[in-house]
Amino acid sequence: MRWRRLLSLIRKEFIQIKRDRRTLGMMIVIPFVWLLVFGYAASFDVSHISTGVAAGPQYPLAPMVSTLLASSKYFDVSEQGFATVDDLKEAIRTGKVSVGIVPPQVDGTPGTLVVDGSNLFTSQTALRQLQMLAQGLAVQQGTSPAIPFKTEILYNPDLRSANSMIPGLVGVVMVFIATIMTAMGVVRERERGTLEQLMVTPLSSTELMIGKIAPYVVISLVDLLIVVVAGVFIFDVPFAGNPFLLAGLSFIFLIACLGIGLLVSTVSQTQQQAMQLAVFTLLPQILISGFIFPLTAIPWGVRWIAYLVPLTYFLPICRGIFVKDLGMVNLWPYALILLAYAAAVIMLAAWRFRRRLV
Amino acid sequence: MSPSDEANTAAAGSRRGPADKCGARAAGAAGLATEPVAPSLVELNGVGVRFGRKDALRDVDLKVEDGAFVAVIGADGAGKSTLVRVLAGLRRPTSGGVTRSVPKEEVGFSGSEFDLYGDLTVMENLRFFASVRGLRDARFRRAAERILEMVGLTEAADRPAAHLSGGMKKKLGLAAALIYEPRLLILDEPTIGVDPTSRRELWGIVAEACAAGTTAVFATTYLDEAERARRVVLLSAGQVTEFSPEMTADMTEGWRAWVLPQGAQKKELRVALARAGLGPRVYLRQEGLALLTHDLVEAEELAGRVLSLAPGTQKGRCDIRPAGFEPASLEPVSLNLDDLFVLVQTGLAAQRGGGS
Repeated sequence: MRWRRLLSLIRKEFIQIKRDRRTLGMMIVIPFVWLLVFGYAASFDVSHISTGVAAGPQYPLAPMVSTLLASSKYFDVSEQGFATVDDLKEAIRTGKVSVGIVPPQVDGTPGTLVVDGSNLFTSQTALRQLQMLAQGLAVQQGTSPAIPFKTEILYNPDLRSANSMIPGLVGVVMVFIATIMTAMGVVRERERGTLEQLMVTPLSSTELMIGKIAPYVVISLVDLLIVVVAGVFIFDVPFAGNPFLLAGLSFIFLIACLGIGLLVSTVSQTQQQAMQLAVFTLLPQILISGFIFPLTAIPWGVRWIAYLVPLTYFLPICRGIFVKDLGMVNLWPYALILLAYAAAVIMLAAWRFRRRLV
Repeated sequence: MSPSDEANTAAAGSRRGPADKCGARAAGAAGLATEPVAPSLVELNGVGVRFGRKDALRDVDLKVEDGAFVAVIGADGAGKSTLVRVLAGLRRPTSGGVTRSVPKEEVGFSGSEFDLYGDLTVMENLRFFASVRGLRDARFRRAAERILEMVGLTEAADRPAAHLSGGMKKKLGLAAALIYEPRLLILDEPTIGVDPTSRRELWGIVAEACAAGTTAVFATTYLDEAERARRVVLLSAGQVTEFSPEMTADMTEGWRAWVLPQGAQKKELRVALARAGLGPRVYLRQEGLALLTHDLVEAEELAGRVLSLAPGTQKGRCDIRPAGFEPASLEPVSLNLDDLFVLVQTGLAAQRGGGS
């Protein structure tokens, strides 16, 4: 690879992006617009919330609580055998459960309800349903309707939508910029006939590919910075994790998105087709990756699609780092999947790109 | 002096040795057999290109020798653009092989449509295409100054390419392809949509480059342009026929061309031609009605049929000339490339030349 040749191409791309005020504006303004829209998104009910119940001799009410929860469609008592509230908190931190219940103890210690506040809709629904179950139970037993639990909402005590949506928006913005802009940028060259001129230059297909996507890497990372900074300073979303880890893993995610953009460009003849196809790949990512609706709320008939898109694996990363201070110890499975995904899609895109060139 | 003559004359002072100059290959005009042996820059061996079920090129053999000046002619859809794209490395053949001894740094290409960046200025376009080929800084500035002056775009250097006229865009395309002094210049219909003055200027630029040692291959539908080249390759139904004047004589043996001079009433003649449906052997050219026949009797009979169908003529009365047409006798003329083109296209040529 000749760096000066590559730099010439990147410089040319930046001049063109700078001159195309409308596209440049779109790339900078869209993150802000989406920040406003998704920062105040509405909530949705969910069902089948994975719930952990502490069990043991000190919790005589545990079997009753489990039975009660099992009778509700809102809860799946998926993990049992937790001994303390700390066990439940760790299970929530690592994503094994979304809700943890420590029943009242024999010595009169009140029970504890632990909810994962980083997942807004799940925690809201869990609280509401638990309250209703407790009230129902109290009415049945003729006792006080007060909930015999001390509630503790982790990471998002006020259940603010922004705290859940804005970390997710980091991924959505990058999907948009990287996929659509890359696809359009490459197809524009083909549509205008300039790709032929590039092909008769000594630029190799790898240099051509890197030169075309490099500007969008930079712009996407700038957008990431915009969303994070605006989220923290305008929407008061606390940033708990390591920003460098977020940047590093975002880069891997970005490569996957750029690969999809390149793939789209190899099957599109016109910019219009590229836009339509890119939106076609974008919509499922926004709708079923867990950004708006929790994955658990999506029936398996559709949910499998979520596992085909990279955002599904990136959302737990950006939310985890942003609000839960998760590190690689917790995130490595997602990072590994993303890395494999990025490598596979970029290789496929490069192969298709090379084939389409001549 | 025609551009090709200019090329011949200027060859003596060109940047490569006189043996591989356009002028040195003037002998090639006298026949392929006498052409000096020069190394091939690109060689096509049995090349075929297929688009779906259609063969754009079939079993094409073609050598482009160093210093050659080759015209590729053919009707629309004959495969000219495909051929020049294969030569430029822009299209991979479906079958056959391409041997290229010229590196990509030394290939210049300009397509039939404007294929540079409209949102970049003239200078930015030149800088980009020069820099990716390693021409930068002071060397680029000198080259840009020279090429802009050559194509007459010095004043427009800072204008966005999209704001240039059609002719200026063509010149910019040529300038971008020539700025790094390519060894091989490939042009796809370089003068399409360009006014006569700009056409002449464009050919002047190509001739100058050729005189400086650049090998040039161009596709065109204009036969007068093809006559500027040392070699003419005719593409018909995806196959090439390469010919020299000797081969032309063989291929047209037994055929004669006649012209019925008719300065006015072209419109009426055109209508009559369409009505007569005599095929491409009878057509309109600048001087009048052209006919390709074996003898005068057949020519007179065909001319009579055309004239009888001109508007204002009583149908079926061959001896009556339409109002406004002067009785004129048929004049024998030499067969030109247009005629040859018609004969090859219609399969009437007596003999087809071999490959390169």
